[in-house]
Amino acid sequence: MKDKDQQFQQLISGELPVLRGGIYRIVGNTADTDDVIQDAMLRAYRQFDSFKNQSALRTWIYRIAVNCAFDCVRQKKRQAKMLSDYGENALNETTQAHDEEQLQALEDAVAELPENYREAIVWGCLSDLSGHDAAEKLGCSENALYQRVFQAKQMLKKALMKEDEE
Amino acid sequence: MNDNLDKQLEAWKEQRSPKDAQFASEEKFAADFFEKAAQLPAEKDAKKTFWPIVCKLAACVAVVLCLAVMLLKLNQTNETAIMDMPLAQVPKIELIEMVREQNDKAAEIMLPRAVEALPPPPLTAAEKTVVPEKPESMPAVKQTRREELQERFMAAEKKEQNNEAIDAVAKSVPLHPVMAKAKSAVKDVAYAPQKPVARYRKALTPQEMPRMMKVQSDGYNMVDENMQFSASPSWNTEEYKNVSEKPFLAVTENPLSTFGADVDTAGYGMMRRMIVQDRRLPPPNAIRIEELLNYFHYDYPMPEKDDVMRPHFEMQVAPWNPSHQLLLVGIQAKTIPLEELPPSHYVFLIDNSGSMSHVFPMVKDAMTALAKQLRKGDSVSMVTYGGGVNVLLEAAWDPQVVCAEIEKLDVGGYTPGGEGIQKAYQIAEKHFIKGGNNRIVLITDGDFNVGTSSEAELVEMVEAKQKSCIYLTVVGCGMGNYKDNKMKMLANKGNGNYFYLDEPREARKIFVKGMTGNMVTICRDVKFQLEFNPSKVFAYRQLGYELRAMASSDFRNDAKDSGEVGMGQQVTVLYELVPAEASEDVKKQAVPGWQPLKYAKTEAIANDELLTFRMRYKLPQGDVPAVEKTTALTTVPMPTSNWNWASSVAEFALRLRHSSFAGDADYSRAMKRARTALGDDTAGHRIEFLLLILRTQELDAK
Repeated sequence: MKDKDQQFQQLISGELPVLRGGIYRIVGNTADTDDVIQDAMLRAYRQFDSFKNQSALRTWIYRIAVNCAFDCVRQKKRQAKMLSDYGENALNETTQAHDEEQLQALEDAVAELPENYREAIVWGCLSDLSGHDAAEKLGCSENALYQRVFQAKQMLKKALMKEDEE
Repeated sequence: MNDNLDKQLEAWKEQRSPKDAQFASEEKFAADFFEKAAQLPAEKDAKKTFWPIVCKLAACVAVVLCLAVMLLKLNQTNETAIMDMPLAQVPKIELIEMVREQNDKAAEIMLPRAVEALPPPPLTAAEKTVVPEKPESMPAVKQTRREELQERFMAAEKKEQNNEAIDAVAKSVPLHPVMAKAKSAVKDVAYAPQKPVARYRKALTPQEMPRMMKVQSDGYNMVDENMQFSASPSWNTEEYKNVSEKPFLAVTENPLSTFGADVDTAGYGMMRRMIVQDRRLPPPNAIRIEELLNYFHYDYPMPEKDDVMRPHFEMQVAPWNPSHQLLLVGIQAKTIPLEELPPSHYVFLIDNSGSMSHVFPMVKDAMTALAKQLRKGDSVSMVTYGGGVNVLLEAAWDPQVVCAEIEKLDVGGYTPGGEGIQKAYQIAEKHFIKGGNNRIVLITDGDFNVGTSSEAELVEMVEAKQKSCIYLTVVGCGMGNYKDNKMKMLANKGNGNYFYLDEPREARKIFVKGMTGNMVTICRDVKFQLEFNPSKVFAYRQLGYELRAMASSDFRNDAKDSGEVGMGQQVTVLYELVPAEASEDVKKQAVPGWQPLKYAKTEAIANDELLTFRMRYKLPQGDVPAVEKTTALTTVPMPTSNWNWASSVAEFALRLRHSSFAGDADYSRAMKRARTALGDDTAGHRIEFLLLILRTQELDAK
């Protein structure tokens, strides 16, 4: 038990800044970022026994944190939409600038990517990690990561193009 | 566009830079975390955080159900509309579906008639022996516009003929009452009407709904050209293992061809799904010739009393290359009377993660079908993995209990696949029946997305376990996110076999009809080796079996794992041979750059044999030494319908794969020959294949 806590203490002090860097870019505020990371870590904590070693555990946290983050964003959006449906437009009233809109579209497209491509984009492109570090955290080779990022970008392009047409 | 996307990503990165964000201190985070972690014991904790997900999924399921009910109703109206239509107008795709959906009795009556009516006359005896005609001066380069147009016209004409063929089938079936009878018989089977629901659910979006309804209310063909949205999701993350075809090998250099047995049939189901349901041509890598060949049942002689397997040979001029020969090797495994079968313990390992939701009803049916087949002494355990690994049943023997438990299954959660497999092996070991049939049946779409799931780790574990005489049957299902490569590898490493469920009918083929063959292994680590006589054969090429190829030296290495063969199963292999008496040109074309070895002179020994066939296998139980049997072949019997059928399947596959060895392989010739080889095809698999060829021809013409 003690051992488990110690490992998590280590994980927190080692990975927290990096995790915050990536997740913040998805959810956009500090409170949610920490919630998401905490959630991901709690899940890992609970399933601790099924992990062979620390690197597998870390990979898992990196992966699941992205999932949680997008879930969080989706939930927020749904709430905002519900509010606006009730006429309380306060949240949405600020007219969105053009690039804000673009960012929004991109964000949606990323959220729709299959899981392993999504995490490649988040950790390989959006975070401050180097390619080497990101690949290590995700438990794959650097080449594999680049490959995935490349394919993810192809998908994004397709999705955005489709959006434009509509 | 490229720069643009990169710029946008960069902008995103900048805009949300966490530089200025005021995060709580690390200590605070850690303190919060441990406080929460300490609050709840593991199990309850799991439930609490998983509740929101479960709720979401429940909502999804509800929506899906609503859609399903709506579509079911729509579909029923559509069906009645079709039944009232004059048969000549029944859309082609529906005809295929109908043919497939019929029960065997109706198929018996209707199918032969339908086939008789197909237009081109049957082959004459002369045509049968030398089928391929020389291609009339192939258009080398498109020189003029006129020639181009001519070519187009010919293509169109071909398509027209093709349509006529299908219309003829439709017209020739003045069997409206029989059809109706067949339909009502099908309705008794609970899942028949649901099928299209599962198929279209995925594709429907609110915008598409009204369009769909309109088409439906017109009673018009549901799978019309305009409805291509069902074809594929906007992107598709299915993965297929890259397969490079085997080339021709000169006998003087490589006299031995060694490979492991493979009785999997998943490739056929996947191909059928893509052609009929998705209406697209499958990617070349998804076509594995050996799996198409093995999907069908052939008429091979049974082994002698004490033998376990018996080889059978047939040879004839290769249809797609008149200067080559095509050799068929069919291996038939013996059957055991049901009463003498050893007791079995099945561990169902079911992936009930969210990604399985749309195929889950079919999966449940399949398992229920198997559970109903349980005999005295058999038992079933059940493990699910989705939100977490759960053991639902341990060595239950009462079919009713098992069915009830299956009924309760539901989907939800992520997919920590590795953990599930581990648990399943644990249970299989715990309830191991000595001398019995111990088998894990893994049902999944193969998308192991969370947890210890690196491919290498999984395979390592399965490989470590396969020594324990526990077999693994992998049943794949689902689409869009299907991981064929992973599944095939797992089955290969885990002493097992591999199937693909694309429709409820297939579930019956695997779990009911093929139950004994698929579930009772008769010999394991089965390896085959052919040694060709250089004085008879110049070069050879094995069709398919790329993933089962072996080094010749591994043939007698019993530590080397290989495939399993189940009771009554058949392995069908085709070899394309370049005869020793072939002209230099033919030889050069088959093996470019070939020249005799300088030092090792192969003096042909005076011997009339064409080849020697060896098989080596172990009996399923215990640590027994391997057995080796040898057959030398001098004269090869004349081809029967077995050869005709196998060669047309191969011709079709080569053409579909755009194989570089396809010669002048051609759909319509494959079709022509296949029609002479239908046999008594009571289950309708062969006639279905004919219609599949037509369908492919149409898609290809597009």
